[in-house]
Amino acid sequence: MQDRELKLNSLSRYAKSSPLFILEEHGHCEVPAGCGGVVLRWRDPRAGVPFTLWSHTPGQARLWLDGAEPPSSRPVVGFGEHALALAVEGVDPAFMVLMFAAGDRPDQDRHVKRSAPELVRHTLTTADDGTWRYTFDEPRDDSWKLPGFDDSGWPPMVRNEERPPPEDPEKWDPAAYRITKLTGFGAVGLGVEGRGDRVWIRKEFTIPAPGGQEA
Amino acid sequence: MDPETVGDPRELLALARELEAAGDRHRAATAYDRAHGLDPADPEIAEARAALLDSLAVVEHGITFRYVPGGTFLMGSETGEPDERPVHPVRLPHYWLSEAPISWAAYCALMDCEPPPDGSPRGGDDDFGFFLENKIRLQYCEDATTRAVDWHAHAAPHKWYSGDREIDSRDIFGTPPREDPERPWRYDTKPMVSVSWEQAAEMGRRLTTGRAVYRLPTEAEWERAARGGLIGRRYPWGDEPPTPERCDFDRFDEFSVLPSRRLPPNGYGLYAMSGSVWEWTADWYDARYYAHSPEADPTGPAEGQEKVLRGGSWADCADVVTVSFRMSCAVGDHGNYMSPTIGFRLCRREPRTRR
Repeated sequence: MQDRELKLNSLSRYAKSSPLFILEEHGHCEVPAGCGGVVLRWRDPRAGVPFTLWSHTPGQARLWLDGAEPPSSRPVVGFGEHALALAVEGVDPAFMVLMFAAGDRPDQDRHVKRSAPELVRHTLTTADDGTWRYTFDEPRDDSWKLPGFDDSGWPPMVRNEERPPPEDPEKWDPAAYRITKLTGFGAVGLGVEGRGDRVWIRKEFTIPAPGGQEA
Repeated sequence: MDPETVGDPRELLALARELEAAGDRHRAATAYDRAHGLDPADPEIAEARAALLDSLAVVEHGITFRYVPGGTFLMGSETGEPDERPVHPVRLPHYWLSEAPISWAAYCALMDCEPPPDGSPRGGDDDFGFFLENKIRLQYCEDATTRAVDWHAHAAPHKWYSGDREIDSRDIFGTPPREDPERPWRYDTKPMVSVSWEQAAEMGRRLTTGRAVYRLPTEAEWERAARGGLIGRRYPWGDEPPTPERCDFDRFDEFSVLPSRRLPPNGYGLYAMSGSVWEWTADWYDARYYAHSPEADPTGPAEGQEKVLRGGSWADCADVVTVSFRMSCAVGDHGNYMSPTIGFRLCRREPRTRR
C-alpha cells in the first residue's frame, strides 16, 4: 500500500522510525494476514538475518538448520557458523535432487517490506562448488546436522539439470514454477552419482557478523 | 499529608492505612502505590495495596476495569529509543483501564454487531471492510485456535462456489488447528485484532454515559498503567528480560495470539500490557513530544499524522515489548490497521476527571 511505503521510508517526527530496530510488514500472500492485511514484526537486526528458504527436490525432503527443523520457512538466523542438512527420500539418482536458495533478498521479495536495510546481506544458493556434500549411507547419529561435522568422506554433489517428466503434461506443473523461481535466485540443480533411494545432504556456511567480524 | 511528598515506604503505609480508615480510598491507594513503588519487596505493603486496588476495580458492560491510582510517575526511558526521551514526570488523576484488551465477542456485543464469527453490523449495509477484517479475526481471535494457516480460507460463512456447486472453503484450505477440537467455538478470551483507531474510539463514545467516560487511554495513562506501580523499570514485571512465561512475544513463526489472561497480570492487575497486541492510544504521535509534554495529565500533541500504539505484539522482539517503546500507525484510511497484531483496550474515567 502506497502510504505504508511512504511511512516505512519516512524520517518524519510524526511517524515512528527507529534507529535501532527494523519494522517488517509481511504481506498476506506470504503469511496468514487476511485479505489485504499484513503481519507486523519489529526485529533486532543485531540478532541475525532473516533467512527465507526456498527449495525444490523431486523426492520427499526433511530439512534441518543447525540440527533443528526451522519453525517456518523464514527463520531469523544468527551470525556465525551454520549447517544445513537435508534427508531426501524417493530419489531417482538420474534426475536432479536439489535446488535450494535462502537468505535476505529484499529486491526479490515484494511481499516483505522493511523500514531499514539489514546490517548484513547474506544469501545461500546451491552451487556446483564441491561444498554441497551427500551420502547414501544413513548417518549413525544426528551430529551430521551440526556445524563442525567431518563430511570430508562424503562426495560433492554435481550439477544436474535433468528432472523427471511431469506426470500430466496438460496440468500446471508446480515444480516448474519452483525451479524457475530458484533459477532466478541463482540456484543450480545439484544431483548425486551412485545408487540409492535415500540421500543425506549437508552444507556448512557462515553468516558474517556486522562489521565483518566473525560472531 | 500529601502522599506524593513522603519518601519513606513504611511512613507511607501508615498514612495509607489512616486514609483508608477515614474513607479516603483514592488517596489511600495513591499512598499504598507509592509505598509499593519505593519498596516492591515489602509483603505487608504489597498485600494492603493489592486488597485496596482489587476493591476499587469495577465491572461495567461485562468488562472488568482495573483501578490505577492517581499520582506522579516517570514517563519514558533514557535507555530506549530517542523518542522515549527525556524521562519526565507526569501527574495523573486516578482512572481505570480494562483488565485485558477488548475481545471480539465483547466488541460485537456492545457495538450492535452480529456475534462472531459473523461480526457484521446489525441493520447496516453489508460492510466489505468488516468482511475483510473478520477474515483476520476468524483465524486469530478464536479462543482455542493455535495457529492461523491461510490468508483467505476462513471468511464466514465458508461458502465458495464452483459453477453452481457450493464448496466449504475449509475443505479447500483446511482448518486452523485448535487446542481442543471438541470445545465450542468462542471468541471471548483473545484480543480483537485488525481493529482501526476509529472503531476503537467509537466503542468508547458509545459506552460513555453521565456516570462514566470511556475512551482510548492517553499515552501517559497507558504507560503508567503498564508500569504496574514499579518505578523506572523496563517491563511490567521489572527489568528481567521477557520469557514465554511472562509475555506473549517473539512468536512470529507461530501466527497466533495467546488468550489475554494466559500469562500473569502486572501490579495493577492488568493482563497483556507487554506483548500480545499493539494497543491504540488516544494520542497523536510526535517523536519529540516528551521534550515539551505538560506534566499534568498530558493528552498528546494537538494534531498529527498517526496515532500512538503501545505494548508490542506476539510477533515482536524483546526490546520492543517494553513499557516505554512507542509505535505509530496512520488513521483515517481503510487497511493500515489490518494486522493480527493490532488491538485496543479502554480507559474509564469518572466524569469529574474527564479532560
